[in-house]
Amino acid sequence: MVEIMVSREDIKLEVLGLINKYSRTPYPNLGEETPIQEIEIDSIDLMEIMFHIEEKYGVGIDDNDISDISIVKDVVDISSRYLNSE
Amino acid sequence: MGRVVITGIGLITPLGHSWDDFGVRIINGDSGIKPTQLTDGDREFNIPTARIEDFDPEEELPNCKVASLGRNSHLSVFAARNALAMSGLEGGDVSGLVVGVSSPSNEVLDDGYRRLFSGSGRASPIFIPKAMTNAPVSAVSIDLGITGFSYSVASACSSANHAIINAALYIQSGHAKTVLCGASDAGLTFSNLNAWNGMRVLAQDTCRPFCKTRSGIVLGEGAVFFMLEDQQHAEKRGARILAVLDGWGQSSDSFSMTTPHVEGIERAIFGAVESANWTSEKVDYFNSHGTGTPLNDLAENDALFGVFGKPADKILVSSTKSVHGHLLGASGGIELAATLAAITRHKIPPTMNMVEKDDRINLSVVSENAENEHVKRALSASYAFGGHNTVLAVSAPM
Repeated sequence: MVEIMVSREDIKLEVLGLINKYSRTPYPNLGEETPIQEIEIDSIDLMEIMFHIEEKYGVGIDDNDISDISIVKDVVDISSRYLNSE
Repeated sequence: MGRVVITGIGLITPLGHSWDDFGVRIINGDSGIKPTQLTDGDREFNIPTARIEDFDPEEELPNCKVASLGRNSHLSVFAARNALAMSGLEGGDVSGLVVGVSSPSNEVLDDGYRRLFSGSGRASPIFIPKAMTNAPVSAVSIDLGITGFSYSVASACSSANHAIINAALYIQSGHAKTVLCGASDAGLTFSNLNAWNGMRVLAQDTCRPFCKTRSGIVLGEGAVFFMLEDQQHAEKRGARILAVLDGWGQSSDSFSMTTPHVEGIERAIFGAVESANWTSEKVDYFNSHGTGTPLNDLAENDALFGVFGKPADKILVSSTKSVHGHLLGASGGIELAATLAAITRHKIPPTMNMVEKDDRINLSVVSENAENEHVKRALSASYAFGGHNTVLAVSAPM
């Protein structure tokens, strides 16, 4: 198995880009502490964002992890954990 | 009964992104049809199409969730915003919304099924809401803040006219004062064009309605929306009235999935004329379905003579599909727009590419040498696979 090593910063940029892509309008000062509820995205958009991460990096993220997401940092952390675990 | 008037139009078509551009180009006979090469991996498919150019939804649709929508929804939102803006109404003023579609979002289906069958084997979470047949109407409802009734109608190439008729019925019956309606189609994909080509109905050169050397349909894409309004409501608020929707006719062939049926078309034309309380002498212009297939053109010719008798040869007829292609679910929308251009610009949009008229066509087909005409009353016809016939009767405001 090929080990995937992606920096946390790269993942963060990827996630922020995806959030902006699926938002009605770019969220001002979007950052890791931004609550997901404040961003104009639906829960299904969040699932789509995770789907993009999964497809791009060939990982499978557990549904339970997605349901625990409350701020942007959670998305980055979860993605980072899966991408850089074995 | 409320009288139905048109107080707004918005469109995005192969002949322009604005009502003004479209009006100039359709009257000039400018063509939106171009040779097109579609590819799938190393496979190529070359066919003429009428494609929308210079439209970047990210740029053109600010404050819209573009990534979550398919192309037919992008086109719908763009056209609906412009129809609403022209009407001078706000989304919250609009009683309801009806949108015609002929299929789910083609490119979304392609991408989704490709991923499922030959990619990762998984479906995107937004595959269904992005592809679903009612996505365009929902996208418009969300975008414009329309909270009354909203739904889509699907009757193949009569979808737009059925949407318009549905909207008009609400106003005529007094159930609504303002209804936004229209249609959208964006099916110029490798898969859809090949599927149509399987029926051997696609022209390989261009669309030549009523021409001896015609070879079939050219598919196009676009969205066209109209604000229909109760006349008194429109007058009271000082709205500009583009035209009056005097009547409409609908029929089913109950005959064949694909073969046009003269009697069915006759019933729809007759229904439109009767409901508008017109006679043949009152019809200045007939925007035909005019697909450019021999079966359609001859059936349409015979149906007009069947309804009007010999005076049918006095009615000026054109097929604007010769320049904007066949927009399938949205064809009735773009053809009503062409008909409104005839009424507002006092000239018949020509039938282009008619090198030599088919001897069996006895109608007065307007070609590129169109003279100025004062068009007061006009019919716009759409018929569909499945045998759904629809004809709209529109007139200039008094």
